[in-house]
Amino acid sequence: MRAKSNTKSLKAALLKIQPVNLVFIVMLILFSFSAPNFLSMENALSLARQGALLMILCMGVIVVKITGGMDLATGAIMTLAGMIMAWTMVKMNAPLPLACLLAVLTAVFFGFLNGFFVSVMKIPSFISTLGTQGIAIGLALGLNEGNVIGNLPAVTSVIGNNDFLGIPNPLLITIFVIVLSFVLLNHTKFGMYIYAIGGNEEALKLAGKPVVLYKILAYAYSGLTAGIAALILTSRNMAAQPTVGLGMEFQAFAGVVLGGSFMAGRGTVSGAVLGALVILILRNGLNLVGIPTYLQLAIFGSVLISAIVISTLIEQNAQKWLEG
Amino acid sequence: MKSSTAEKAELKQGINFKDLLIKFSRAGALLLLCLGISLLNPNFLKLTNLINVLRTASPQIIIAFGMTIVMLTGGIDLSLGSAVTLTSVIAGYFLTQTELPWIIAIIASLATGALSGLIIGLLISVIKLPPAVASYGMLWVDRGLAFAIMGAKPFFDFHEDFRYLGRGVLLGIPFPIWIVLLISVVLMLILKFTTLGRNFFALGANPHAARASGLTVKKTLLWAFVLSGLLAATGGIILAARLNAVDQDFGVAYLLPAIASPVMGGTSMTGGQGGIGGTIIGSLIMIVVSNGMNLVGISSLWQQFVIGIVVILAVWFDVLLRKKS
Repeated sequence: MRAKSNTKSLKAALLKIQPVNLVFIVMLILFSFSAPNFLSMENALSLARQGALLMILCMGVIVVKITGGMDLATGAIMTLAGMIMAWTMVKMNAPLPLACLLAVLTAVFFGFLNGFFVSVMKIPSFISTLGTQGIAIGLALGLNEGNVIGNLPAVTSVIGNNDFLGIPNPLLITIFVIVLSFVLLNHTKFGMYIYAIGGNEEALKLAGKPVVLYKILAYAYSGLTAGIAALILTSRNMAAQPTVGLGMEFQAFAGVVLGGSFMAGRGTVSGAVLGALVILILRNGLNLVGIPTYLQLAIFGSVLISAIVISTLIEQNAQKWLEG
Repeated sequence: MKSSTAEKAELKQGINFKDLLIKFSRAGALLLLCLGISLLNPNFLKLTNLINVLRTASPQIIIAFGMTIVMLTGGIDLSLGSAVTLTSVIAGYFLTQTELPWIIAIIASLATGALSGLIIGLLISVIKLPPAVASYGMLWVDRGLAFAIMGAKPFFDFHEDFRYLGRGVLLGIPFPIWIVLLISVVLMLILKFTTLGRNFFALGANPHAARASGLTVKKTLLWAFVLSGLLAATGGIILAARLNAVDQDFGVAYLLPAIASPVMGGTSMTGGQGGIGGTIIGSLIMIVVSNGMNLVGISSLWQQFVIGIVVILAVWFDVLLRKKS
């Protein structure tokens, strides 16, 4: 009897392990053997620098995902905000802080648009955000006739390339955004509503709660994170390129879902951080092994689908296994 | 029970008249658009130009057919654009990198499309993933595979007979238009007269009722996505044959029009309503809009911007219509 309950609790503990943790560990082992410089400090720092964008985007996408939506516009919004930032500085001679402000405001506005389409106009989120993706990329292309905007003032590089107390600025900004998302989701009314909308939107609506407002805010927040990412991106490249964000929305989506946000109402900031790390390490490792970007995206797609399939199967059979 | 069905039938009659009006308004919108553009550029309404526009647009119409079927079941296939890329790259690979006859290239391409659709269908029906998530995952798998197969160099210069599919002319009408006509007739017959076709509608109209009435949801969904994959491959083949080359961003631009066309033609995003005829009109509207933008001299860079807005407005219109009825 006792032995049985022991195996039962062991099984229950095993079930609690998220697949993403296992994938994470397996990948660490795999890449540290196949790419010798994978575990070096240098590579870890460059990972932190390169990972800033994806990590920041994930912190916005997770909020939308918890409400039950998909945000497929985040990469395009980041691109557009970057173009706006470069354009205002180069063509309008705006100072850096003003350019940053305008870029972030543009991104928030596009996030707001997404939220408006989804919650007021009742357009499914993947269509709203695909539409916004088209609009934002179209604007980014049209703004400078499809060309890169370069020759940014030297001061721009401060955001993406300088250190503060020995810590790279992008890393500091990333940590700030992670903490912000964590606090918002776990310790504010906003977070409470976001989880509640994901849990049972209809009930919340019937109770007369401001569902529409909080849904708009969720998408606007995702826009904000895209805007912040744009600042780092533009500063690091010292140029804005109208097609640079291609595929970023997918990496962010994959990271968030891998981190445990399989359905509406589910997902945590810590999970999303881990999911983003999985994608980053995978990307970094694949880069070191020399796999081209587009094959990488196919691999992310397969990893994503398999992860969802495995955890769904686990969930469907967990009860049977626990009792059997 | 009986009274409720009678009520429904009555309701349907009432809507029918409105539906008819809406249908005519769509065709009317198309006509107005054509007239407007011909005012800006008189060459537009010339028969040769119209036929040329249709020929160029035929892959887009065929791809929109695939989306229509998926939408009828209440689903969506975000992978369609990438499926076009992958299937055309597969065709290009067999045509240029192997000595096999060109018919093998077509078969391989169609099989790839069907397989890609089958995987999405399985993910939705067995694993119970939302269609948007499943097809979005496949979007990147397809796209990545296409790039992996192609490497850095595009495939071009195909067999003469293969190119006929995209460039040939039969009885004065370009071959792609014949293919569109053939496919639309076949699909209309399938939707109207086969159990499978009726099941597409039933599943979309009320999935719970469909399940309860013994409809095999899994099989119906699988067929819908396999068909949409096959149609994407057909579009990809025609496109490759016309351009005599395949390149990396081939199909991506087809996704948004493929969503907008059925919706503008009256196929409901929520499933159960719509059809092939409407999609033809919806596709023509999309095509005339982008053709008109070219004629008016709007840079192609802005096309995505306009199409993004059109998609959102079209779906919004659909949402409003369903809400009222």
